[in-house]
Amino acid sequence: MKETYILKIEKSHIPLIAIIFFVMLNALYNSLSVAYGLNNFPYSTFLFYSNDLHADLVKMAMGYWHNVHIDTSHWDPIYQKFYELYHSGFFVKHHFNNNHLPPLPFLIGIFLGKILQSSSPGLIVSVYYLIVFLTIFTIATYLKKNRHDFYILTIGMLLSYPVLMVLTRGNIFSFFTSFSIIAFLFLIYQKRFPWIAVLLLSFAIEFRPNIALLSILFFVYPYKSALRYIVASAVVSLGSFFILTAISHTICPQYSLESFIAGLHNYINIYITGNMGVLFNNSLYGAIRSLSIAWHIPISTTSLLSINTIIAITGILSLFIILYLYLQKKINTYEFIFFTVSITTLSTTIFATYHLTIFLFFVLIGFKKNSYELSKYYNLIVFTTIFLLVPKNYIFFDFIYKDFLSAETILNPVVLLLSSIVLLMQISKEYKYAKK
Amino acid sequence: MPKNNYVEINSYYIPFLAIMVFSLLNGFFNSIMIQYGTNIFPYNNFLFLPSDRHADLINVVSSFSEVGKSSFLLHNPYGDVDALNTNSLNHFFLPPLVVFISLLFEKLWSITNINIVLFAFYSFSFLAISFLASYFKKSSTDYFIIFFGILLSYPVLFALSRGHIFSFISSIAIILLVYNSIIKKNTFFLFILFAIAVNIKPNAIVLLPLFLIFETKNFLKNITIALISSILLFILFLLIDNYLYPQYTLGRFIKGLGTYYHLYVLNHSIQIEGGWFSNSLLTAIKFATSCTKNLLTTNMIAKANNIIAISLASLVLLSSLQYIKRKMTKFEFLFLLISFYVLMSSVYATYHLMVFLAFILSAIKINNCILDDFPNRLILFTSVFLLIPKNYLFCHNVSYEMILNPMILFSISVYILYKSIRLKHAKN
Repeated sequence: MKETYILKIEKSHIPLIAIIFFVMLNALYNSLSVAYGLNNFPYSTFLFYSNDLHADLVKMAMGYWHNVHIDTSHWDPIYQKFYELYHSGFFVKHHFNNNHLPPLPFLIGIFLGKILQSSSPGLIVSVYYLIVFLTIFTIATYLKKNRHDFYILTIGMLLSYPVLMVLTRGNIFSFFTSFSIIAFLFLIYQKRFPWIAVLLLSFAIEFRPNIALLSILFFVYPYKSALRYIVASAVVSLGSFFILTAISHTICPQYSLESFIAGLHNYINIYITGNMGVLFNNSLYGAIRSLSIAWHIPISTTSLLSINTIIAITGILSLFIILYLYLQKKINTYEFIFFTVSITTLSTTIFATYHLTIFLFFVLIGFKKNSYELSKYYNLIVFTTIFLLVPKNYIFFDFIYKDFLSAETILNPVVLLLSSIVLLMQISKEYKYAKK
Repeated sequence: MPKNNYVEINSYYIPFLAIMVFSLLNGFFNSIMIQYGTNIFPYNNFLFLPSDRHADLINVVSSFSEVGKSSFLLHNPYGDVDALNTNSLNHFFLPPLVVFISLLFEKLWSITNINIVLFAFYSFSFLAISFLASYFKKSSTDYFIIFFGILLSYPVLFALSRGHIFSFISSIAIILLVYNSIIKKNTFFLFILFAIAVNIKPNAIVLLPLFLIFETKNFLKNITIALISSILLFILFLLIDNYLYPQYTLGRFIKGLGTYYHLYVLNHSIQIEGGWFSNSLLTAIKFATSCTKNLLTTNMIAKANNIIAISLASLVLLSSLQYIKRKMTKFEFLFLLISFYVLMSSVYATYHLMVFLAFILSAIKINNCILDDFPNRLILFTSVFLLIPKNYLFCHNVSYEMILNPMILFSISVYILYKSIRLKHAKN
């Protein structure tokens, strides 16, 4: 065969091609499972169960309704069932309300609830999809060097597991948070527009307060500037928080700081010590819970909360170690970002799959810089990233129902933790060698 | 961009990678359809009805079994002598070699259980794929690409889920026959391969002109040996079958074929009997008429079938003539023979499309810049097109691929033949 017919693939495309391949592989597994008679969740789809489609958007928007009676005959049957649940008082009975939401998402939710009341779920879902697609096109256009780059970036991002989850769950808050963080990480890596980075981080914190851990990344700037940006982020976040709480309270008087704290307690009971947060979680806490479920080890509520606290404290202490290594110039900016994002992911109690979208940064930056310029350990970092960005829903444990909990809830945090440890060991080994 | 920013891939991997990608794509479509609330066949999987999995093994084998009858014959479409006498579907239309293989599995089932039968089937299938990958590989990387390319091809996945061991055997025989003809390796082994293919799917007799590839002066001798080998194999297995299962006789085989012809070929339905997942020209016509709600009468189907048979047989002769004049390459000639064989067969189920692996596998071994030639690229494209699922759009729950596959195959075959007729000089 002639050499001229050798197919060439750009190295920067490989991670996204791998993501597309593995997403489709899990889909093929689903299709074959159905063909072989396993036509039920979680074998039939690698995403969430289909009768809960776009629930984080539609159900959440319904959560603001009070005695709303509307004609839903033109709605899709899935959303009609949501409406039936709302009317039967299911959400109230199970304490599913929006009070745990920080004021910004709460306000957005009020707005969506109003639109839903006067239109249909189909409309808000379509607008939401349009916004997600346009964001992806914009990123692809920004990063592309040629036409091929654009296609691979668009398809790769769109078909990545977390983005598919963002879309099918309708989790608009995760979309806002994740893409703001990606933009923030780009600015941090390039050390450009620090005040925009401050705004982006503050915006993300308004949705997920744990993201505040990422403010440590401002140390890519000189010491004094870093402190200035961190303080600015804190001021903007807290200021916005209180202003938005006041606005929310004015629009919806039952929402207040007290109701928010009560909502958080409710969230802890349902999601953290309860069963709702176990599926599709990617934190270290989630892995421990999944392990205890898989091996039938009972853990008391007090122990669960203690484990959570230990993980959180360890996470914060690890961040300081990473910061020390960065300031000592033992790790570069790319590695510093990877460690920080990994620790944030592992130590956040509930880190649902859609939030993993932020890991796209480690792949996307490859379109701006060559891999050897990014890190000596680029392959390890990108391998871990690909692993997190693809579904691995092949093996399941019994949880609530038979075969309900995917083994990836254990695999993802374990692989992320191990990769971080291996990377750290490699770096320290290299440092020792250099010292000798 | 510097060279180290690229990863290089051999071009002969492209068809295999394309097969993997498109099978994954259809799987992705199914998974997304389920996610968006359409969890019904044919949207939730691109293979056959899940409730009927392994039916072509279990139903056929259990129809020969006294043990199997109790548990598996309840919904088994294959009857025995009683069904034959009432002109219902029965297992007597199966050629002797197929009956022999079924009887072997029936024996295995009677001394073990259904799981062992399925294990044996899957072991055989995986070994067969592994054999093909080893036979055609040039390096260890080739092996993996070929293995997974074959495994994820639509006909192979279909054969596995249907439990159709016979399509594996006949297709492998034809693949080896095609490749060994391309490299002109004329051994007695080729006659055996031909005989096996004919004894599983008798329509494969259409492939007889492939012996023109060898010395033209020995053509008559070659086809005589091929025909005698096929007849001898037929008689041998007929005798063995008759000994193992006395009800199976030549008379009943012929009568069984008549019943099959009425039930499967003359049936206007594009679902289940002889229509679903078929890729012949007759099925394309049935599909087109059924979709436009102009159902054909039995008489019209019989006529259409005869016209197709005569027309395509003429095209086989024309192709042979063109090859003798060296107006087409061996690769093109063999592709045309296989194409007309597929299109001419009244019922040509998806698993039998495995024969098109012959061209993408042969392309690995042929070192004469096969992709330089446009018709060869067209052949590889068509092969890949037939080896991938395209179950996205449906008419009465039947995929449009049923019309797409035969139409593409027919158009490209006629184009290649037309180009060869227009050629003024013989090809090298």
